[in-house]
Amino acid sequence: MSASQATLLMGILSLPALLLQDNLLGIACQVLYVIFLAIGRGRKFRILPNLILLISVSSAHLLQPNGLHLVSLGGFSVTLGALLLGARKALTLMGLLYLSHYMVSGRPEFPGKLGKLVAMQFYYFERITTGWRSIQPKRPFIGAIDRLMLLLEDSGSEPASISTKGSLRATTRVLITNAMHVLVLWSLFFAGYLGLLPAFG
Amino acid sequence: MTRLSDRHIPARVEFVALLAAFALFLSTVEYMIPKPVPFMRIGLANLPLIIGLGILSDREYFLLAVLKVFGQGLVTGTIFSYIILFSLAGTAASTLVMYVFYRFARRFISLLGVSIAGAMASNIAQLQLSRLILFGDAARLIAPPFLAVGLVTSILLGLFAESFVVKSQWYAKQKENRP
Amino acid sequence: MMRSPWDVWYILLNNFLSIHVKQVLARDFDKRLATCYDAPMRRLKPGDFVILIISVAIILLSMRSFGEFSGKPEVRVRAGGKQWVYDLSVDTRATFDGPVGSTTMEIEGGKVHVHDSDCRNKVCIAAGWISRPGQWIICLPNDVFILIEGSEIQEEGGADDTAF
Repeated sequence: MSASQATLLMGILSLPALLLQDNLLGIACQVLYVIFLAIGRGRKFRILPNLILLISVSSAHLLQPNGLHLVSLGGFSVTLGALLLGARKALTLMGLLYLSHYMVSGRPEFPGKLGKLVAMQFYYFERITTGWRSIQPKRPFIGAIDRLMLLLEDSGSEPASISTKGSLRATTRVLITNAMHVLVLWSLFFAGYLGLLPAFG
Repeated sequence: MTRLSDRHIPARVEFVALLAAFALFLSTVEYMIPKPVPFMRIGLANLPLIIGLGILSDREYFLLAVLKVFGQGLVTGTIFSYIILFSLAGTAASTLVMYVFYRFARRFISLLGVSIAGAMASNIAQLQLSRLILFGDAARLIAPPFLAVGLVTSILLGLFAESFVVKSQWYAKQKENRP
Repeated sequence: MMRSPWDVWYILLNNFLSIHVKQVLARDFDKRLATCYDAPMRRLKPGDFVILIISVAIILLSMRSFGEFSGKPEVRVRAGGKQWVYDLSVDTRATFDGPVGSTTMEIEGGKVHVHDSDCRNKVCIAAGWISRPGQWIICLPNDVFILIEGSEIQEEGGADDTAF
């Protein structure tokens, strides 16, 4: 097993810990944790898209009142339960997103025919991006796309085989750190499940 | 045809991978275009799926759709998150609808109609999904603007595709090679 | 040669599109971009307009549901000076504390009843299920008041289905 596959496996083992989390504080901690994992792998964290997700999902849940009445906005009641439910859902989605970023950060190779095809797709993707720059596209785009496609086809393909076999020691280290991540995410789940974390609402 | 032997990937399948890579390229182009509304998308990456209708066999066409979803998920790192579900639902719906319209109603509609129908199918599928996992009943509130923006962009995309099909030499060459 | 009304419409629309859209595009966007949209105008087919019209119809229909949110029946519960609100169409169970003890309300299948209460006479439990806007259940000893609110408030039936 390569290091990138270990990372992938860690993510798969941790997914249920996020999905099953019922406690708001618990999911918030888990999200924070996976965001730091993703940032550690060079992923950028932008606050605005996440804020938009949080606000839109939370406010969408307000349409279904649930629990303590907080304020009325034009005959429309804002309830605590609905707000918390929306926030929890948005956080779960954010957590899944950043966990996913982390899982594929090592560019794992996928097995089988599909994996081979995707590798070929990425090979062409690289060539298109470099080719597009080299032809210095001018509008009309149709001509530019045409030239690019003809160029790619003429030159044929030689998919670079990427070998990602790291040393055994490196893989072991990655395995151990990933096992720790799984442990942290699952203990946060059990902390919420067993009522060790305070519940709101 | 689309069977893969272990050592060698046939030229046709490689061609599908090329189109899928083109879709990937277009989605990165789209990613760089600033958008005023968060839920607005142009759907540039669907261009290969529209153009592919005329130059791919049935199996190749659906393979292209699978590769598009999978590749996008990997490039953007969203393959194990909820976003891949949206991508999957949208692409599955639009691919099926566009395929059916193109195969059975080619005489009555051009690629413009195909593009509009595909975008509507994709957006309705995604709205249904957002009702299930994001917004609940409130999804109905975002439906009109979401569908309207999709309609406008799909019209532009459809006209571009129709024009491309007429003018492109590459397309003409592929049309002859179509199995 | 006879033309059906549909043909005339089609030709008109087609001409309109090829002249006006081109002009608009040429004015507002890049001129060279507009030339991209030059060729296909002639190749559009009647089915394109059918699909376009159906799509616009779907969008218009989707706007209709804006009104549906205002009149949705809600369950309002008042206890101890605070207020709680629940959606009548979502099954839930909630417990409220009062001077005597706790009162548990249950919403199930669009109906509400008091499932359990610490009060002595249990009149609120005996009141059974309510489901229509305007109906209410009260548990006087424990100071819990449950009311269904919605657009279609019904005058009759209140006294029969609910009780003090």
